[in-house]
Amino acid sequence: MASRIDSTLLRIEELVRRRSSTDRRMGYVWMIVPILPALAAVVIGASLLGIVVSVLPRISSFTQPQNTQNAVTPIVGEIIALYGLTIITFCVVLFFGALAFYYLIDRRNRHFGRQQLLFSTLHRYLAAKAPASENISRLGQLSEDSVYGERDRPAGLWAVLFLCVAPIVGLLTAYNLTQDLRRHDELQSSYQITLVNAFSDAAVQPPSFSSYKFHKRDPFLFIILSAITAGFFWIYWFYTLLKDYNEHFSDQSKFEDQILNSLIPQEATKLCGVCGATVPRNARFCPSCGKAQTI
Amino acid sequence: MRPVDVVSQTFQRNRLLIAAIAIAFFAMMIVTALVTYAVLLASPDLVKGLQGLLESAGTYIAIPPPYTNSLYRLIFLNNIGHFWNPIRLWVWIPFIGAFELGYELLLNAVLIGGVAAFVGMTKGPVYTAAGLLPHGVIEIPAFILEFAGLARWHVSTTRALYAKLSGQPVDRPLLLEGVRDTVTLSLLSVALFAVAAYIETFITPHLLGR
Repeated sequence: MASRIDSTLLRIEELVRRRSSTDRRMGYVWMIVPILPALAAVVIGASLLGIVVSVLPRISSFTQPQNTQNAVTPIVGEIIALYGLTIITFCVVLFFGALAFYYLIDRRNRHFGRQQLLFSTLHRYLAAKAPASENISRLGQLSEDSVYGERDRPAGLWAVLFLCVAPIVGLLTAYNLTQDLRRHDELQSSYQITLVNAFSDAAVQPPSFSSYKFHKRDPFLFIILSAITAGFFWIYWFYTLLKDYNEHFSDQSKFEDQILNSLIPQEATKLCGVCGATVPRNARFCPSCGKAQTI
Repeated sequence: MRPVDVVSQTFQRNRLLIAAIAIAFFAMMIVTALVTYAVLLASPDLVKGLQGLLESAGTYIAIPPPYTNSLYRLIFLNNIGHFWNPIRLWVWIPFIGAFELGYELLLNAVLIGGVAAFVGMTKGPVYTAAGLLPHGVIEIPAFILEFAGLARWHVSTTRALYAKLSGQPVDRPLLLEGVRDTVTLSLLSVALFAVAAYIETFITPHLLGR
């Protein structure tokens, strides 16, 4: 029994450690995705205005046959150049957009997947200590809810679809990502409250969680605002997709650290032989410097 | 509840909508003004071309003379077209109408920005300010309130329709609150449009020396 609990504890530690590869923060350099089309629209619009207005004085010369070729040739060249610029910009926007959506969905999948494993392992660990506890049963239900309600979204497929019908898929993906985080926050909040009670039932020192930040964005409002502002609001929406998930990962890290602190007593820590940081008892790697530890 | 409280609460509830629409509108207008200014500065021939175009437009668009009720009716009824003009009423179709509104916002912002830059270059900043500001300070907020009301309408009805289609219960109080906000914002915008049209008909021509 004790060895089973120990192995479960090791698994929890491992799942927490795995967050460095699953909870990837995306930098704000990705804001290029919504900003680039806006900039391109301004440049192409200005160029188009320039071409259209420059055609006006030449129109009178069209009536004289000998002047027609001289008047038309530069316009055709300008239109072809503008068309080329539009196509290139369009391809660049599509490529970066698809890439951004792939990463956004992929990190969501990885984070949710790891957390589902962590929830179920924590449930197993606590259930082995206090099988009759109602709070621990509730923890199990929440864990199942998370598996059922937070299934993977195919990141590759959405990215390919974005290449085909960018605006619709872009809005739909943003809607899904916003809605998913909102539901995830609600689940996370219930989980935290239940976990504190479950720890008490299992005679483990309950962790003291810091206040949890909810991301209550209304995706319907965001879609309508993006439409009504001719896509301008989309820039802000994309920013929230980056920021909210990044913030959530930070909150989640603190939450997991507090759980680990409660599960692994302070005396069961050691110092890293390389950097001297405090390292959990059975850690195979230092969380501070990443060097391998002897168990 | 007093009307002032109703208006105040409506503004509180819709501050994000109003702010987003205002920021988008002014940003597009400023960018257009700057781009138009740069394009016209780069090629003075374009200024002549545009002037010619505008002068020729005056010959086939029949605009009533200033200081007349006909001009007032034309401006006012055109500005509130979303509430009565059958061709423009489709902006009320839930969700789909929002995209037409986006196009109109872009068009208005681009037109105002472009015209302001063009008139500023050809007739000077004082003339531009006298021609646009007196009615603009009322008409642009009216325009933003009208769009915020319509945005609220689309958010409420789209949410309700989505709930209906996906078999979830419709949040009726939320829907009614949205409709009430739409009515309040629309009434406010119509009142402001009436004032703006009056200024544009009877005061702006006076300032421009017509």
